[in-house]
Amino acid sequence: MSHPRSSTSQRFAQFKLVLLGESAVGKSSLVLRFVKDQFDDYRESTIGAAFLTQTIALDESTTVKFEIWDTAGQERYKSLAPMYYRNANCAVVVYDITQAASLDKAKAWVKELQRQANENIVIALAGNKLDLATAQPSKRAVETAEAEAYAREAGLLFFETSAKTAENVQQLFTAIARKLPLDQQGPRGLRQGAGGRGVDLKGGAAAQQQGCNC
Amino acid sequence: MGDLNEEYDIVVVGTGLTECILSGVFGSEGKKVLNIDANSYYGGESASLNMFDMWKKFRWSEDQRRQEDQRKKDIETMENEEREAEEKRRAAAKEAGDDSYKPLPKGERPPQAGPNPPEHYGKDMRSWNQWHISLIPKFLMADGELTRILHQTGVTNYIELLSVGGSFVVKKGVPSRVPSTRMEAVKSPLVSTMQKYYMQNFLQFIANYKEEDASTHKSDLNLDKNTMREAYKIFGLDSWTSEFIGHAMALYSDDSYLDRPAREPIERIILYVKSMARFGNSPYIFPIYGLGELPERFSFLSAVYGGTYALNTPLQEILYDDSGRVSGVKFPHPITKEETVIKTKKVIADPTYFLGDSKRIRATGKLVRAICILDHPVEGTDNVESAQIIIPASQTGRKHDIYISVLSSVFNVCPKGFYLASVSTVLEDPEGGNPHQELEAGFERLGLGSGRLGEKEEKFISVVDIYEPVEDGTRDNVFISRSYDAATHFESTTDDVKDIYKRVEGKDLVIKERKEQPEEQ
Repeated sequence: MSHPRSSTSQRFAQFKLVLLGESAVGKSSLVLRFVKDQFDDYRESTIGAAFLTQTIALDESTTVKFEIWDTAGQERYKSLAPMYYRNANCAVVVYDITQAASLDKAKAWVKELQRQANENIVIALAGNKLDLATAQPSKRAVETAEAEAYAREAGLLFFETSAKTAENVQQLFTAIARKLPLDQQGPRGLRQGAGGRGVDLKGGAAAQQQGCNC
Repeated sequence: MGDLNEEYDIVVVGTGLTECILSGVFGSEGKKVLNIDANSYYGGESASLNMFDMWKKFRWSEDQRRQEDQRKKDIETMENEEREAEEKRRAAAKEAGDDSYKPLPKGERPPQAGPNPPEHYGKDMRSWNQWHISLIPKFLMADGELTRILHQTGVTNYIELLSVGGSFVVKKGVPSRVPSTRMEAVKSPLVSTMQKYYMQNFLQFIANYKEEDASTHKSDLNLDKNTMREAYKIFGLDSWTSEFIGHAMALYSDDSYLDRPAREPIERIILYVKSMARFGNSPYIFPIYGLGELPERFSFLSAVYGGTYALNTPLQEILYDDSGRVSGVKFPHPITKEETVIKTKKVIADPTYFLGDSKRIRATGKLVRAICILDHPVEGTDNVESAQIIIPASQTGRKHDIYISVLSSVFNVCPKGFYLASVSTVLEDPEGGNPHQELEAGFERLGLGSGRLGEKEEKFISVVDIYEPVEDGTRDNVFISRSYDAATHFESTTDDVKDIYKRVEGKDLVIKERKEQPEEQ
């Protein structure tokens, strides 16, 4: 995996992004929409890929690559391993705007992230399933203003999204990319198996570099 | 949606490394796996703990830990009740068209049952989380079976391992690097002038040996008929040279191997030398963020294939059918805490879930381990950031070696300026009442001799029982794993994984190589 750092004015940064939220709020669907521009109505749970990557060009000279970690359902019984959000540069905390309780869960996750995760983590709150409330306003259980007020108070980015119609999905991830400290990206952002400072288990030669513990 | 299934192919109890590799393997084979653990963290006996959990485990009383568990349950109940009440109020307000609705302030939570760690180790969760203290002092052999499994399962795509800085053996109080090539043997102070020629010949034999190529064998040595004692003699190796080969390369913790066939020790020495050749410095590699990464990553692998995990979920009972075989398991539901019965035909469990059950497990010995927090590097190791140091039994008048493993902040296991060292040995005098005394030679090496301890230094000492299953599990389909042994590496753990797999499935474990890389756009 090589990093395109071709011309001198090009900036390229890679960040680890995690998704959190109650099960069935549409975390995986948001990722699927963002990464593959697909939606699957009957998607059950996350099987197959450990993480996906997607690149955003912020402007002509700046490219941000997200390494997106889905929970693979381990959040379901409060059994998410610490390794999951360790070193995450950004998090999308998702709730379902048709389920009031899912916002409470989202708030609990935000609290946990703010207590335990990286100090400079960028957190976005996403109220998903906007399409349902658009089609049938009575289905809405969380008012936009309420969630927005909470997000402002907690210092979060906020979007109401629809993975189904793609509304605000690109905007959500772009807003996160813009808020990330592109210049301060350290090895924690660059975390991809043998691509970091770890040894390469495939090859035989010493692939280890001098470790920098920052 | 989202609740437990009625039936699983396999229920795995405990999230230690052995259990998590197995649930990862079974998951990737398409089996439905439920994995429960009584603890609030992954890894069981092979976990890495943050400083708060470390303090809780070693410095709190049994009573405080019990109170804290109760407090957590109480808080969860309070939260659930508050959430439900809030939802009712919110719905009622919506119904009545009242937009002045605001959630009520939350009730006061009961206070924490025990003390926080001292402030020089951090003041809040975020700083305690910088510690990843591994409970068992083991490294991975760079060319060993666990490394191969990590690679084949694709778990290497999301774990980073670093090469350990040095492998040392102590002679007359001085640590020296273990020589593993002919050149190193020439230079090594461990090999006497008289022995250099013989050691070089031996290492040449090791480097060239191929099972299928008779020309690489030694004509007067039969690996299955000759004992290792005889093999050393055939190579002309004296007692000290053979001692450090057996203890620091074949990694036997006592001398009982000498009178067994030479094949196993020779294979272990080959593994050592091959591992050494992969990344230099030492034959060992270790994960950034500690050993707890391994069970966590394997659990993630299993979850990616649809495996279900529930922490804070103790096993209450295994249920059996009329023929005495497993028919299900009973445990409190991870969220509602209601008694839950899940159907399954097979249970894999770690031995700590059967403590005191002599029909299930038996103790095979005791280890004493001290996890030490140091504020200085270990003397005599060229100030390397990580090392394995072996003090052979002969140097201390003991029957078993003392093992020391040292790690630093380079591995992101502790904040800068600190070092983590584990000292461990087989307990030779369990009735002596002074288990830490058996580690004294190790403490001396760390600068902690005669009970010396710096202001910011700490020793967490524990005596652990080593268990093995009484039965192989094929009678009732309860398959129990072994405790993590005294060895410095995981080779016996992967043997146990393969062994359990074979008992469960009736065939050998063949891990399909997971070729696909994380998707790239």
